[in-house]
Amino acid sequence: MIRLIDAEFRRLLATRLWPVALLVAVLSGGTLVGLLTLLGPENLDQPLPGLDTAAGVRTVIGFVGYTVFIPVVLGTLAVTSEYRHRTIDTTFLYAPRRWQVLLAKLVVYAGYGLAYGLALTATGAAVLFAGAATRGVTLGLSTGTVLELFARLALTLAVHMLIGVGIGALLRNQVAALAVVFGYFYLLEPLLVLIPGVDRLYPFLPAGATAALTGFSYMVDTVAAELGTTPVPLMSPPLGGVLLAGYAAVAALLAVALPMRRDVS
Amino acid sequence: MSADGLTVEVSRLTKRFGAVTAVQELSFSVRPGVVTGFLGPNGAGKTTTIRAILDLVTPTSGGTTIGGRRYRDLPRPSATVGALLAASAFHPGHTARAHLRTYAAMGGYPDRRVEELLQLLGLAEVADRRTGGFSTGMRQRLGLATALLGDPGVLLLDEPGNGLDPEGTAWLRGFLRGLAREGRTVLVSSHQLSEVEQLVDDVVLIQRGRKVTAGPLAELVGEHRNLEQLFLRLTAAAGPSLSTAGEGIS
Repeated sequence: MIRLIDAEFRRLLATRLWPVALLVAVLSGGTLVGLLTLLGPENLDQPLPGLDTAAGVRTVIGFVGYTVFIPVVLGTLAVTSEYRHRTIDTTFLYAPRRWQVLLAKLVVYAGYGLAYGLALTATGAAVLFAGAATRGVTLGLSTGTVLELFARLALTLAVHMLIGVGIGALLRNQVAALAVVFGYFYLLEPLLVLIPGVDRLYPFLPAGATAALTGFSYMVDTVAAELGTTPVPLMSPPLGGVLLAGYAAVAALLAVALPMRRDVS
Repeated sequence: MSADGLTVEVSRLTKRFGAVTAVQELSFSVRPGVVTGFLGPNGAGKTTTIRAILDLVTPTSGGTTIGGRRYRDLPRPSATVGALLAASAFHPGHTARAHLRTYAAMGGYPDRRVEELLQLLGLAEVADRRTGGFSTGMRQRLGLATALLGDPGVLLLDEPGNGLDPEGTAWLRGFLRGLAREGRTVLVSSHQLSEVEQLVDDVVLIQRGRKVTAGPLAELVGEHRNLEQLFLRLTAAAGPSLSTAGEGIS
């Protein structure tokens, strides 16, 4: 097992993707938080709560949560790129107990996901504090709470990378995996929130769990206000975390169980 | 190099993909110390058979063994069997060295072995180039290096000569003959009968998933001018011709 983990680390570090991905993490964290902080959420066309309120700070951090599809995509590549470039044959020849290969990928991508999450949130936190100081705004949440929210977000991003590994093992085809990930995280999930009745499902979806974990209820509250409905109550942060971990566990189980007997031809 | 060739047995192997029968009741054995040509037109079932031996596809019925064991039951598969399956099976962003080092780690072989193989296969100069820019010949060599990492006694090579120039073909012939002389079991599939005639000692000839004939090349060719003539005579008796057999699953 140690050998397989070593091999997956080597495989990951040998491509140009991982430094690019960390750069994307730094840029997406820095740019999103930076723009919102410097422009001021209250100065947007559709004003958001200001940074001097708790809701304002949560909203800025919560918006970063919308980038979870990037670690999901990176996770799918762990498996789909092996099928695409046909290295999966060699991999399964070296390790005929295929579940071990997938387990090794999950271990390595958990670390990679955490690195991605920390790169993004460390940049985001630095930019948030620096931006608020520049504008002379006192943040509506204590430094400790802000750091905790960012830490939860980092974990959320890492968990999403594991969900990606599971999706990759399920679909195997890179284009199909990308279509599903974008279709779900960009189109389906945001749309579900808008449909009365169906929106009750939202807290139980990955996005709802992510929002619960980061205490980001602004979107559901706003949608409810616009539609004149009662906002869907999010779960408590610990429950959100458990649910998200559950999604990752299901994804991991799929990843490990699926390749067992399928023909590779 | 140390090498213990093992006998590869295929017994009554049948593999169906949905309605298509790729291999039907196929039986043959491959002995150590010689090069065996696994021959037949495109779509005859060669690739499916090799993948079944390697446990990459599950037989519908029948089975395969290497030294009496199924592939997945081998204690250290990559040290027993080396395989070349696709013309290119590398991440295009990996260098040759990084590709080999990944699998060296997976098989538990030292990085020193990677350097040996880069030398042996003439890849030392391109070791740090990304495989995306490799020529066909370089890809085949890197594929062979990957198969040889564990110094296996059994080599299963699917169309290793595909796309090689005459120089590359001659090099490959010498290389594979050398591996067999060391006592290894070497199975080479090909759809180009004339090209492998100078390479192989034994022949397994299949068509449409069934065995046409098998045995030592010299005995089989006998009074026929060459392998192609033999194949044409045997398959003319069986019915379908070479030109129509080229479709289906390879």
